[in-house]
Amino acid sequence: MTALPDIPRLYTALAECLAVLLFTPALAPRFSRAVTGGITLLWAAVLSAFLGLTGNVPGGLWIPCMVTAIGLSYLYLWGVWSITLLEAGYHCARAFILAELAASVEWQLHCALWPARGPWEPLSLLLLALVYGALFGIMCYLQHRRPQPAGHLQIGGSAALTAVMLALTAFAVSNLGFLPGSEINMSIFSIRTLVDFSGVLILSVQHEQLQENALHSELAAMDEVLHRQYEQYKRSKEGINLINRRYHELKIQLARIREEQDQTKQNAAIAAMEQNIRQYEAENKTGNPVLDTLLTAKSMECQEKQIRMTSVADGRMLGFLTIRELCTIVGVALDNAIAAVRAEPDPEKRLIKVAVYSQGGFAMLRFEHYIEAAPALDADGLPQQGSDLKSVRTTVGQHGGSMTMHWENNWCTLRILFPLPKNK
Amino acid sequence: MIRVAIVEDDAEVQGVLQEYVRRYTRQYGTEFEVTVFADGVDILEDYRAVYDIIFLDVEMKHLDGMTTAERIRQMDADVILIFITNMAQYAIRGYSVGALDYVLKPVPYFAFSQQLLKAVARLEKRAKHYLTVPVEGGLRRLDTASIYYLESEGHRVHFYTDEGDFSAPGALKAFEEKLADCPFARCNSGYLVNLAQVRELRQSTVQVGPCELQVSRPKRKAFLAALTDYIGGEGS
Repeated sequence: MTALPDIPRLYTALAECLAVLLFTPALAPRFSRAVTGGITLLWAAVLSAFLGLTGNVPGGLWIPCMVTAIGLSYLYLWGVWSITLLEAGYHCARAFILAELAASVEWQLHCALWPARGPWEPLSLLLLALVYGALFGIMCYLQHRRPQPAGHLQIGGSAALTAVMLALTAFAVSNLGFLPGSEINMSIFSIRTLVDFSGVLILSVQHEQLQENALHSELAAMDEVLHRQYEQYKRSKEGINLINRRYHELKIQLARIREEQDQTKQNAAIAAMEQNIRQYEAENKTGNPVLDTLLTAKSMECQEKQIRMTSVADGRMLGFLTIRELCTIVGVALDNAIAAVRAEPDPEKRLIKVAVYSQGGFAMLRFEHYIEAAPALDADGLPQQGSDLKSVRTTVGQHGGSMTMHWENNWCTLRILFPLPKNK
Repeated sequence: MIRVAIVEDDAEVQGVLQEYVRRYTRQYGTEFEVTVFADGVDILEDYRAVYDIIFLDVEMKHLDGMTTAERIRQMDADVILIFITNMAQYAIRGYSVGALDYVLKPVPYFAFSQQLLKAVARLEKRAKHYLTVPVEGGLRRLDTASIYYLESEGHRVHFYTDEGDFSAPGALKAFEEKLADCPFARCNSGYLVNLAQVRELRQSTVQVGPCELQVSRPKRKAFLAALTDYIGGEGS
């Protein structure tokens, strides 16, 4: 059996590019779309040119060439996408082994079908398109089949190290047969394909596991926020009920005093007190008892902390939210605002405004607070420390709504929109 | 010149508020013409819709602020109403007269100035925007508020408005840039929607005026965010 030709380097380059690009959509770019696209094209061109030009180097230089090619992809991943060096290593390792597998499978099929045919004939190219299309298509499908954890999947040192070690091992073992002196035949190709396949398999399983863990901790964090806000709500509800009872007793007492006393001045004072009570009763009603409790409790907290909180709220249309959901949304949003304005030294500037209303087929909840420094927002448009707001966004998303946060003219505004469900 | 009315029965607070307005003018340079009323009855007597902003005390002897606001709203849909009150929460009634903001008594200058700042910004935003569209035989001047949506078709753009539909040559992107100051957003690559005309949002469609349009998956997030910012803009 004659020695078989090895994989054309441009085939490898194409596989490498496709594999890296398969993983990038899940990452957040560092630059604008145009810049990202430009650098991506440049990287692909440089990588292809480099691999193409170094195709015929003698055996000793082959390893340094591969290392340089991997290094290019690694630098590209780290430089263009906002991930850490470790994460770039992880993604690079996954992409590298996947590319090896794709190139290996394709070339093995090619050699089995037409060992004599050149790599650039139309039929060969068709096979290339078919095999790469199928393989990357399947990987793409597998990647999007399961729910993705929101935002950035964080990869720790051990996961990155495992991935890199696995990729290196798989690469080393799969290329053992190509050591100088051994004859290159189909069985060596098969071994390479198989080893690469197990490498991809193990790395994919590891990735699934990481995603699973991320989803799980996301859920746990949300549950925690929900629980905390709900507990707070229950506590304040008891407190407010107590106050309501007291007000009621006070009213009865006042009535009695009036029956006995006759001086006009005292009467006027009593009338004023009564007026206040009546107002208190009337003004705390938003049409949604949960919202009543939440707003009352939070405005008490604000009074304590010398914060001026004002709210205009029509909560009648919020019935489609569960108590827990409403607690999470309003509780977290106000906690976030309270924490922010507390840092303001001048009590006159500690201002919070709440508006809840409906417009057309939508419900709007708006929370504003005064803050002179623009808060640092992350890629998702949320404050970097406000991890609780993430659960608000998830809750809002579950109802098909949307949440935005902006800072303008010293005011930070959180807006939450819900499409109102049809009653009919 | 912005016309402001202050309706307040306490002479002392009246004076404080007038001084605040003057201080605001010194600080920001905005000129105001201030009229003062001592009771809701006074401003309603022979009411004309000439004011831009009305500050209303909620507790007044003859006619309270809420009732006054309701009467004013019947005659004047545009004026910005700001309540002055010592109650921290204004539930449904404030909302029903389109007053989503108020200042707490005793009124500190800072909170007052922020409220006024916001009202002035709202007045400026309220100015009508017009779009000039080349049509056969000349130019057409279109009030952007009357547009439902724009649809791109080849090298032409279809306009759907409450004054009828027509089409004009040009690219959707060019019109989108001209409408940058108005609340317009794309719900899919071919439709540019006036957010002020959005009535309802369903699973994959949006009701814009009388039309139901498809919302594409890639545009959904950005479209919803734009809608959120528009509806949650200044309220009312």
